[in-house]
Amino acid sequence: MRKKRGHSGGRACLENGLGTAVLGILALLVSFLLLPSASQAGRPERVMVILSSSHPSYLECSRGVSEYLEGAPVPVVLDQVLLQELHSDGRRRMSRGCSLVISIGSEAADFAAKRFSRAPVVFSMVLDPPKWLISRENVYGICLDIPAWRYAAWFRELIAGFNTLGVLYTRASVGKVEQMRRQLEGTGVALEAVRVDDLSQLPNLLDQLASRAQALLAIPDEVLYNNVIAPRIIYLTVRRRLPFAGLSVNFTRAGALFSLDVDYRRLGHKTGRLAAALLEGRTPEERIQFPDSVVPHLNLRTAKLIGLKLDERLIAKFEIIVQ
Amino acid sequence: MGEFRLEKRQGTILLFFIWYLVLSCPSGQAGQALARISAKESLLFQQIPTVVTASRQTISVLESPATAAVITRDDILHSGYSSVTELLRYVAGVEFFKSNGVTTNVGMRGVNGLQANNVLVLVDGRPIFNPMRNTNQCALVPSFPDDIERIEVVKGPGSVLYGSNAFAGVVNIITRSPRDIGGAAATAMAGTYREGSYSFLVGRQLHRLGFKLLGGWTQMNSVSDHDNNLKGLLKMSGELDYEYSPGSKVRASFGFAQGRLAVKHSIVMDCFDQEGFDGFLRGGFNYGDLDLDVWWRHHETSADFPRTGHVRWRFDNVNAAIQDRAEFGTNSLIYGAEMRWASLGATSYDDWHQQFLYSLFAEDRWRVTGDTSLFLGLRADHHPLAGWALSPRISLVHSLSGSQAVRLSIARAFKYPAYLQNYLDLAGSCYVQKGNRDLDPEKLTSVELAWQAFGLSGFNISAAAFYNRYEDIIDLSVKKVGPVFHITHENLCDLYQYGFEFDCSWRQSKSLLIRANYSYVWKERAEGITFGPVPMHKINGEVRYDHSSGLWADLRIHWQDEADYSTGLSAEKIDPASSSASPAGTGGFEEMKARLVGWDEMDGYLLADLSMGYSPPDSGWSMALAVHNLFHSNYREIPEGGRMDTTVTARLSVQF
Repeated sequence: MRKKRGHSGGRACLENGLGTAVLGILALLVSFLLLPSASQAGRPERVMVILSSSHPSYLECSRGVSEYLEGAPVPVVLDQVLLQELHSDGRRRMSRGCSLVISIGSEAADFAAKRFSRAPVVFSMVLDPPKWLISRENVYGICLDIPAWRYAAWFRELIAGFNTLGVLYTRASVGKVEQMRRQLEGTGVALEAVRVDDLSQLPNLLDQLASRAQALLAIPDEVLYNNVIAPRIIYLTVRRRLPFAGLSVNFTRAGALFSLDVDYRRLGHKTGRLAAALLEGRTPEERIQFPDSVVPHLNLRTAKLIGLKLDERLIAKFEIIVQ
Repeated sequence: MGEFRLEKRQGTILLFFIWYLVLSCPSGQAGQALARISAKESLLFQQIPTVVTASRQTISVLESPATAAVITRDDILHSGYSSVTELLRYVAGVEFFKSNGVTTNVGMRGVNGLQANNVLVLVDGRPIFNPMRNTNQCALVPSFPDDIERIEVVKGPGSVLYGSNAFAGVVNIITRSPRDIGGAAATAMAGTYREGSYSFLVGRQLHRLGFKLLGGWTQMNSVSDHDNNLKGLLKMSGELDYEYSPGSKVRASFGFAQGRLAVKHSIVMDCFDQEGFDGFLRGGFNYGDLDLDVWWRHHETSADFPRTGHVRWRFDNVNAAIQDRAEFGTNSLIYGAEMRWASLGATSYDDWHQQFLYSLFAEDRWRVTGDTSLFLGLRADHHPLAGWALSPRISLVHSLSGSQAVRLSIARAFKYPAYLQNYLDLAGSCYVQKGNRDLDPEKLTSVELAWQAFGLSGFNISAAAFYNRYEDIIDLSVKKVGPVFHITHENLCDLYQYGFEFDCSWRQSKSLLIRANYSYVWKERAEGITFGPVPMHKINGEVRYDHSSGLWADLRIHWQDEADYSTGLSAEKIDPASSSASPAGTGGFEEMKARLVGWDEMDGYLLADLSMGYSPPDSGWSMALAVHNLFHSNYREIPEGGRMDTTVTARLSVQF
């Protein structure tokens, strides 16, 4: 009986060919697994940076973001755009896709959170962010709010025996008052909150507050701390010799005792750090964070007017604003 | 004598304006008249107004011992004016008028004269008056509107803190600090009749060191003779300050104006061209509340006159002032001293003169209760010829509530004789003029009752009533002895005035601001003095609209009724034999006699200024267009002055 050489040879060939094919498929599969990482290691991430406007403070923060991300381990391409431009040319810009969105300012944060439901959104320079924004799973951010316990610590240095902080609030800022109470838990400082429903009653309400609290802290309330009513509050606190911490250095210049201001460039660095962590796939401990460092400004003239005696070492901790 | 008639079109506009103001009265709903801010973080960026009064310390306007008004930077930018003082026209109680397109005159509460000789004008606390005539040539201030932070107007006697010339009030022009400028800006303004100005401003705060530099050229034209009256001034100023310890600074500054401007010293004299230089060097330091300020001012100008030919004036002032503050219990005391050495002279006058003046001042604020403060102040000044002058002030301020206050003030101010009044000796073919070294200072005693309410839902109101007693008024005395007129200055007479002001402003929203004020002044007509023009009634109104896109518009309306004025003695009084209509060319004195008409009235007028502009938010540029005398009212602001024309100016400003 003659062996079917071809058959056995064919089988061998087939076996050899099959093996090669299997090897090839395996190699292909492995390459599919490896290739993305390889390409990922080389391909920069596209990050869209949206600015609410070209206000110098936003630009300063944005510079901080760029500075940090330029030196970050993850290669990044920044696409910086003004919100106004996106309104007119948004589709084209956003159709390019991005790995992460950084939004600077409330309006940009609002826009980004609503438009980008999948890519992580990191907001910065938002004061008192609304609940709906911070509850979104893909939203992270650095607020401009400085926790009440930080103010309490500075008031403790300025006022001997300080233990009660006062705030004025309206219907719009009820939530902020509750947040502040939580922030002051465990500090030994109580919070006295007086609600203002009628602005003409402001002097009487401040009298009430002055009898129960040792200092007044401004909160982000547009009804009370706009540039029409804020000067009145500053004047009334000086008259009543009530130490008052304003929202910013502009308040201190106008006559508030002191303020804790944020360095916007450093805030940009922190924002960049958070963004870089997300790009690297790391989950930050806290989704919503606060500024690390503040610049304290003091109005020496106000301190004198309200009868505060401050020693040189304490004064040296402040940037001095004198009227 | 003319009769003021309201043209139909002007009357319609005025009625519409009043109707609009009446309908716009606030309903008192709290919270409506507030800024609407789109992003909460803008609460951190917004500028918060601070009000400083001329009590030499920073206190709220509600606690001021005198009625004060503030012209803010916003007001200046929305006006489109190229002159820093033009906005004074719209302040209640202030009489503002132009002799020509350039020379502006400011008076307050009926006490006025040409070239603001009864008001003290300060620039960053430094007086700018010219001791030759006690006048303030505001055109020579080395600043441009871009550099002005605000202008404080304090009405009523201010001699208790500022000495001579703070007679009817004080105008303090405060320039921007290096920190506020924070960059550079270039501004160009061009207008009809080849008027224009070009300026650059740079300023920065670098940690402890602050610097500022300003320069520019301004070109002005006469309101009537547009072809031959173009004048120009080169202006420059700079500032350097260093904070050597927290709250303590050392500072140096300079400034000058050089060029030509048209001046009109009196109603009976023609305008003349004054050419020259006015500059200063200033230095000082403060250590906490202790402040030392020294400056040297040099002024050298010349002009040609028909009677005296080419005249050159020169004066040098060296001033030093020291001030400190002390707090003890419920008292806050400001005290200090000033000295001035002046060297004055003119080529056609008798000699160069030197004067040394010195003064001491103090004002205490005693918080009697939490709601009541009593201000007690006294200043003593010494003049080599006029001797001592005392200026007391008592002011009781009581807060009715946290945002309302009433005030009762009694104050006395004085004004030393001007150099020319003491030393000017001239002689002509038919006259002899001699300076009078024995002149007493002019005195003004004022009683004022005022009420202010500030910030009630964005609505600010103030009302004030005053009585002024004006004593030992210095003016020309002319006696004819034979064929020769003997002219000298004397303390001629007293007179009194009283009046009332009402001022309100309403910030209806972030976009809309409405203002209106009314002033009334009654004055006694004393014979033989140069006075006015002062209208009895005056109404001002303003509507300003700012759109969020950056577009804005501002309409200002000014109405005043017939204005009293006096050129002094009438020709018949000094020389009954002569006709008041002397032929021209018989000598300057004869022509001047023809203009001496005693008391007269000038027509009232209605003036509207409209400005509009575009300042894109957060951009580095802005532009504005302003139309002055929108409805081409044909009027004079001063007897024998030019008729005011309609002018249009356009301004472009770029920041870096």
